[in-house]
Amino acid sequence: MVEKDEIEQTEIKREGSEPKCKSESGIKAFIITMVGIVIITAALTSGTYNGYDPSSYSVAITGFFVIVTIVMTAIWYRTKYNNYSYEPNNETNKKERKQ
Amino acid sequence: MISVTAWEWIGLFIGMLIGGLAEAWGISNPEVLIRLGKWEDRLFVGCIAIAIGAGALALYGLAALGVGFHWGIKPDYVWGVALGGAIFGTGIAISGYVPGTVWMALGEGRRDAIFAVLGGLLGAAAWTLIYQTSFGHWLVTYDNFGLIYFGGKVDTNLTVGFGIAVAWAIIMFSIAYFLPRYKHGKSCAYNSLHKNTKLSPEEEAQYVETAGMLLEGSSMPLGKNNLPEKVNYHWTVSSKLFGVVMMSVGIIIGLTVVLEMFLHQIFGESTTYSWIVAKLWLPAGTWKYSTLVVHTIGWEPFSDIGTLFGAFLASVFFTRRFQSFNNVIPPSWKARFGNSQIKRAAGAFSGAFLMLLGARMADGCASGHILSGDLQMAVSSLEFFIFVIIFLLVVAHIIYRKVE
Repeated sequence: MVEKDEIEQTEIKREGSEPKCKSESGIKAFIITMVGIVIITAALTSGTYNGYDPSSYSVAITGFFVIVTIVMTAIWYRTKYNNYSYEPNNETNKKERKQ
Repeated sequence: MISVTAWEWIGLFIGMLIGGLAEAWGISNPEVLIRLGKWEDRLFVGCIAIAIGAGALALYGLAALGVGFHWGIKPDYVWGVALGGAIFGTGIAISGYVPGTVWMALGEGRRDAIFAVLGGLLGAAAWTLIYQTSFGHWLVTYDNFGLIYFGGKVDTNLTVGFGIAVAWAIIMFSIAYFLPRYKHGKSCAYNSLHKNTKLSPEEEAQYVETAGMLLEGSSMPLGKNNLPEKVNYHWTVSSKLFGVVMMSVGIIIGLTVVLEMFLHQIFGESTTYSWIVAKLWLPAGTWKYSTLVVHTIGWEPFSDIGTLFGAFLASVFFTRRFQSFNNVIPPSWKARFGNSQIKRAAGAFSGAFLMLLGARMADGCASGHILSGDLQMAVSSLEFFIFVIIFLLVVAHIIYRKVE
């Protein structure tokens, strides 16, 4: 079970280096709400049209809500975890592979 | 004959499903396609082969039974498709992106995807301009054999087509079964014949390295003993291209593409770039290509938004790889060109420019040609794929060989 050991070791290393998980229920509720808003927006603005020349206004407003959701989520996570960015320890892995 | 034409906004759901699954695979990460170019990680080939095999069987089986499809097969204009494929493959080697994965990467919060979108729009605009010239006209008309697949003209000889689809599916599944995912790794065929074989040290290191590469830049902790940990450290790094997880995802994607063809049209990603160009810069009426695009694009802008949104949702809820636009440079790029953000932005921009120029020239990209088109057994799509893979391998070798 060498495979398990190595992967488990890596997982433990990562868990030790990352910040503790905080409550994310607020942002997740926001995202789920936005999923509903995006779908409803597309449905209401596009309606029962089934041709091949879509309304640019319908696409633009739907895309706008998606972009807003992504940007707001990015700001939330950056603030919540203090600009955390996961860095894998590639050098260690390479050394281990050589051995 | 059973046939329907669904409302346009339904395309949103198709895009969300494919975008979410592809993000879980990890192909929104440009390093994955760069490693494919270096022939180190063949995940993309194996997964797409499963999707194509399963989809071709379903498509031609149902068509032979009388189900009507919106085929949208790509015409085979030999020179334009070949040149487009060559440029497209070169663009992937530089940027690590295809048009669909640019949207997915943006949904995953990758910073360099912003530059790739801009480069892609400029590439699409370049083709709109070239299309107006005599050279552009020559590319799409000279040696144009029309809408053909392995069994003849599109939507004809469907029983024969099903027979060919069976053979095609066997070839595709064999690729996934016999091709080792990792360089120096073992294939599913080998593993099934050697049940007690342990992973080689090289392969173990590949698992760990791949998991690290996929998670690099994530702006949220992964947590422990949860689903995202399983996804990142076990499922997506697995060398078993023909294993249960990879195969299930491939089959779902293949069947989703068939469903899309039943509901409205083929699955594509790159026409939307030309559509945006037509709406913002080079209007229909004045520019021939813009006129063509705005009247035929169908629900693709919605399915592209869905792709972006699906990848975003997967990266927050399922894989926890959402990067919040952190500074992340693909490891292969970093090893070759250093840690400069400006260089990476220029690479993403210029690579995406070439990629979209090639895609529009050939009338399709990794989604329209390689996934949907090869699933339809379109002659043009097979030709496109051959040129893409040759140029991807050669250019990636030239660019990244010094690092080896």
